[in-house]
Amino acid sequence: MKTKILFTTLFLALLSSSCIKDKGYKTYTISRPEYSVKSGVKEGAKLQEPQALKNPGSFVLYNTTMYINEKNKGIHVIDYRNPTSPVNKGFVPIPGNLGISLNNGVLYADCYCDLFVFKLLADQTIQFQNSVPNTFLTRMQTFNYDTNYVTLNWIKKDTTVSVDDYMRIHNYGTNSDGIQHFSANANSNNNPPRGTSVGSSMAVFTIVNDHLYTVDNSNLHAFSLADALHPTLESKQHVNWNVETIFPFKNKLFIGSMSGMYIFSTDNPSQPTYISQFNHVTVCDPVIADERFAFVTLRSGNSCGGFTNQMDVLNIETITNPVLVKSFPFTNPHGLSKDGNVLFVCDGQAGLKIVDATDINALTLKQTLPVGKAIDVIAYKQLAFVMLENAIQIYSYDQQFNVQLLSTINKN
Amino acid sequence: MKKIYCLFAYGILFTSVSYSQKLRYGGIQQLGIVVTEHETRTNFTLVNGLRFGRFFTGIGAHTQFNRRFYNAFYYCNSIFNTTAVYVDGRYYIDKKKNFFTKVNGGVNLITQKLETHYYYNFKKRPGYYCSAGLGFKARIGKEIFYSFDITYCLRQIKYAYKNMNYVTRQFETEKFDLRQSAIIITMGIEIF
Repeated sequence: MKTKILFTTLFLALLSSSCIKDKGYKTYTISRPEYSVKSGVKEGAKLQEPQALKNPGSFVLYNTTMYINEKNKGIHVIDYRNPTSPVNKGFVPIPGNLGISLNNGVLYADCYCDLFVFKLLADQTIQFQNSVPNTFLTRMQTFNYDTNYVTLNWIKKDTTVSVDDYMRIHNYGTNSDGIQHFSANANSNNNPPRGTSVGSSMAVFTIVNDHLYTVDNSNLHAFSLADALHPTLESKQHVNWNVETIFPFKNKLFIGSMSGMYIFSTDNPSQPTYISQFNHVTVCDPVIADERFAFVTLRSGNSCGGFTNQMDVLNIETITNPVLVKSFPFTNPHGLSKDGNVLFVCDGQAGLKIVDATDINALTLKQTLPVGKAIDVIAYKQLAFVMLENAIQIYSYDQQFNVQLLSTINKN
Repeated sequence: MKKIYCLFAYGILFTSVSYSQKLRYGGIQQLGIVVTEHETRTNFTLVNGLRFGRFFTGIGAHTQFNRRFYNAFYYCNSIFNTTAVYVDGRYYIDKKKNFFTKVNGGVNLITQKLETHYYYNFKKRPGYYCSAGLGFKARIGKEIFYSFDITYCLRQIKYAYKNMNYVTRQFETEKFDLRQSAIIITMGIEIF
């Protein structure tokens, strides 16, 4: 009996030794680009029918109009002359767009690595004028060898392959079919409105003294707008990796990156000069500033990493040495804006928080508006424009912290 | 996680149902090797359960240790330390209860910490674990036995990898399903 069992055991062991195998399966997304020729993109970059907001990024205010970036898609144009009843005027399709800024009737926007220049016309149309090609090199589509093409969209499809196969055929997403063309544009011309746009704390474009400053993932670019329709790149300098936002205050630029806040001087506007920095843990950090203090929100999350959710207040009176005054805990702070002593903080799912910033050492939470996920805000001339996950809201406010909802623009 | 709760619930249920019958506690601690297609690794097995006649059933845990660290992007299935939590069932073939067959079934969990970065992270997911084997035990003390068994096992290691696709510049999630068949040779002590 024992001998039989022993032989059976050994036989099974030998049999199964031929069955030991490692098999791996990987489910991943194949992303196939949908291209357009660049000339078609330029022709099609005009005010078209309004579209639903799906994945909005930063936004700016200019002459009672909101320009909202739809990440990598274009710009929504919303007229808020009547804040209680804003009107969605249309959508300007610009593939690869993330940054927007306006100055004296000229709109500047990026299209992947190119800078596009548009003219605002009196009849509220937007006319493409010019482009500065291959400027934002970190956004260069290096996989696309033909620079006449621009990626409009990514068509996604999940697929499962064995790991061996995957390693062998690791060349996804390089097909060049699906080319689309935009229709031609009509021309008109008129006198543009004057002034400079007001950007949010999560902006990547800003204009100071007829110079356009932009940040991409790692660099600060300075463009001269002496000839507004033909901006010229005057300097480009490396700031750090994971640069996210740029905020101007007087002759200073405050640059938020995932590892710290950087301060540059624009005394020489063509070549901003590094002054100082304040380092923090690796998290996302929009920044705003006033005469004496900088406000930096630090938030964690999937793409941000880290575990910190707070707002740091920095004393920048000695601009060469920003000093942390105090940190205030928040839930998941995103964009922020300050007008006088009224500080608006978008605290993610916790809503919009209105804070009394009269005493910097003892900020007082005046009100929390449970508006859903609040992402970004601009407080400007007694109007607060709040970007939510599923809507945009306009509030009126005063320095006594009275806040009233005027209107809601649903994303759809 | 639900599977783990189900396993424990099963163990508790079995214990309570069988309590009135002639039951005896049994505990097994074993060390051994796992022979996979690409490498041989060490493992530790712990089973606690109840014996009833020629039958034994219990809840077991089987931990497989790494010798090396691999880059998780690449092959292969056995890059992570995993622990299987399972229901163990045994039947003693002969009257003297020296030889037995066993069947195990449960879940396999990644137990080591996986890297997390602000532009990529891993999420562990439970996989399956099942095995069948033969073995024997020999008395070395009053209630202590030396035990040896050979097991053929199927083990699934599952995880999701979220990262930034620098072509599309969007976050994407890749799901890995790694299935390993291996022979486990273990020896240790049983306490009855």
